[in-house]
Amino acid sequence: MVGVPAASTATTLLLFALGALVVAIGYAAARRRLPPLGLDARVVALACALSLVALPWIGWRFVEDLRTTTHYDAYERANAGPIQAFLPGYLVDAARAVVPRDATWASATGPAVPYPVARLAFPSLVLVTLFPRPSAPVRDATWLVAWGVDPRRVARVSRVRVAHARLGPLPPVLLGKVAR
Amino acid sequence: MIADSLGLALVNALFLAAGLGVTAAAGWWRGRGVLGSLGVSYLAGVALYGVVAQLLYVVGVAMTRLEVIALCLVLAAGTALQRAAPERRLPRFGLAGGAVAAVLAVLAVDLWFQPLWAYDAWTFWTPKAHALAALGGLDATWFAQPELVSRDYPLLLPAVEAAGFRFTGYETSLLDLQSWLFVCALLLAFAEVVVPRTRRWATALPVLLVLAPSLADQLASAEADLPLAAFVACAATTGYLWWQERDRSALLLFGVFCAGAAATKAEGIPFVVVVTAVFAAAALRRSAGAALAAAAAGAVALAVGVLPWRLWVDRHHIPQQASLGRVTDTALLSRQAGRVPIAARYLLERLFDPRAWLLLVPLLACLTILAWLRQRRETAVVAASVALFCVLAMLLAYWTSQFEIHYHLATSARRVIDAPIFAWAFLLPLAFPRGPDAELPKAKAS
Repeated sequence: MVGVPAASTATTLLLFALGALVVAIGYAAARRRLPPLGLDARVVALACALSLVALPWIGWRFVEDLRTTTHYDAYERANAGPIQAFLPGYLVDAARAVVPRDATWASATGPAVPYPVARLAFPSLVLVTLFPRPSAPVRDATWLVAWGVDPRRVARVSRVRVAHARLGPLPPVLLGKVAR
Repeated sequence: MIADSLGLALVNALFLAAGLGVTAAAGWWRGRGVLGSLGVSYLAGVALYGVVAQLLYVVGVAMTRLEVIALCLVLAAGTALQRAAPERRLPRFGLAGGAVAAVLAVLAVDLWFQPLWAYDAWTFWTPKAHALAALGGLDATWFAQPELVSRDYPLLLPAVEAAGFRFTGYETSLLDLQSWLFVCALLLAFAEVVVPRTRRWATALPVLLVLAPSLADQLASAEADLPLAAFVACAATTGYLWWQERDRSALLLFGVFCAGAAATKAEGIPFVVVVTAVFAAAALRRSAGAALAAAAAGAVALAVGVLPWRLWVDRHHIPQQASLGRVTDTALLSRQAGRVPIAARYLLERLFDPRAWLLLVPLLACLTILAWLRQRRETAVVAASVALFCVLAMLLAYWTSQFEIHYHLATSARRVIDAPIFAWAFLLPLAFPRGPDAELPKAKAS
């Protein structure tokens, strides 16, 4: 679930203590009415009882998740995947207007991008944004989408333009037409 | 989104109709037995639709909305071929059924608000489905492009999601609810097949499954591991019915679920090999013919589920992550031997992590020992073997993986253990038949 924060030790302990209390009260109330059980059923019942101790924690996860996801705006809902990878969903949007629909592209990332997961996910963001334009190896591509690296160091490009300006710690996204 | 969810309901009704045709033609149900076969039928429908759709995509069919409907109706026509079948009644669910339904309802509410966020889902599963629907089929230029992640992964899930997009438009928020339907059907299948054959406490296992935080996390991820686990669990259960009850319809469905598992993810292939080998070996103790039939069903399922896609992948020179060459390369095995203890420890930690699966896995381990002590050894050994060998197959995959081991484990291990856990949870209760002297349900007349 996307909206579940890591619970603090105090919150976790409190939730599990509450669960233990509820299970203990439930057991005390139902003890006399419980039918005699075989060993296998007793093992299952014990595992269930111990698992039910986690019920308040499980409920807390749902509440926290819903508190987050119900407050997402349209942009966050549409771009939750890239956002999870520290990528603004609109980072490559401007490239759609520049790269022709029948063109191919290649992507390149460099160490100027501060987040490794963002570097890893960047080609997928380009792929989704430029759909249905397919990617190609750099030597065959007609356009190069570079992030955190000078496109001129990756391929011979005829002209470099900025697809998205620098954004806080994120370097600009640069577009270069690969020269033939 | 509400109108789109009606579209999702419609396409899933088509999958159910297709599955009812498949199970009826197989001789799984007849007449009013349909009510006790909905879970198994839905999953069989999704599995067979996905396998056939993958084949049709490979030969160039676009799978338009009309073609989706036509394929489902062709499969649904199997209801006209109904054969003699045992009466199947839906068991009473009682308190456990109510608890499962309540948690599933909470999950549905949570998933309604869940965006598409999981890495694998937004980087390749859903883009593939989108491309199938938007580009009118398997466009080689797009599907073979170098920047597409996991290009070699088979097409069952994208094909199912693409069928949904044909009815809902490109609505990614509903994909979690599609996964939710898989899990609902799986739990219904447990109630239909496992519960009538075993003791009352077995109904507690779906409660633990549905409460498990890992299940909620994965439902919200719209990835392929839950459908894979559902197919593997159903393959294991139908394999058991063939082994113990000589149910021919179960053997046919075993093949359908194996094909579905193999067409869902690369990991499905070793899981199918494990399930097939375990049931063939178990059946061999009683009859060579039964063992041969199980092995043949698994082999045909692998061929149908994997071969067409692999041929397409080879034709387009797409490198494959799962390679028989790597797992048999002794030099690689020796060079990467240091990965084995790391992966084994990590997998064990994930299996027994109570934050993921509560106490389900320790419970299954205890019940396996109990079944062994109580002379229910055959089923206990088969259940544990399926789980153990599936985990060993994963260990082999991590051992020979081309990725950095810690990264690979951290990004996948928590999900790929679903299949062995589900298969174990479905098979093990069958080692405790209903009542101390209870007979197994009678094999049907064929």
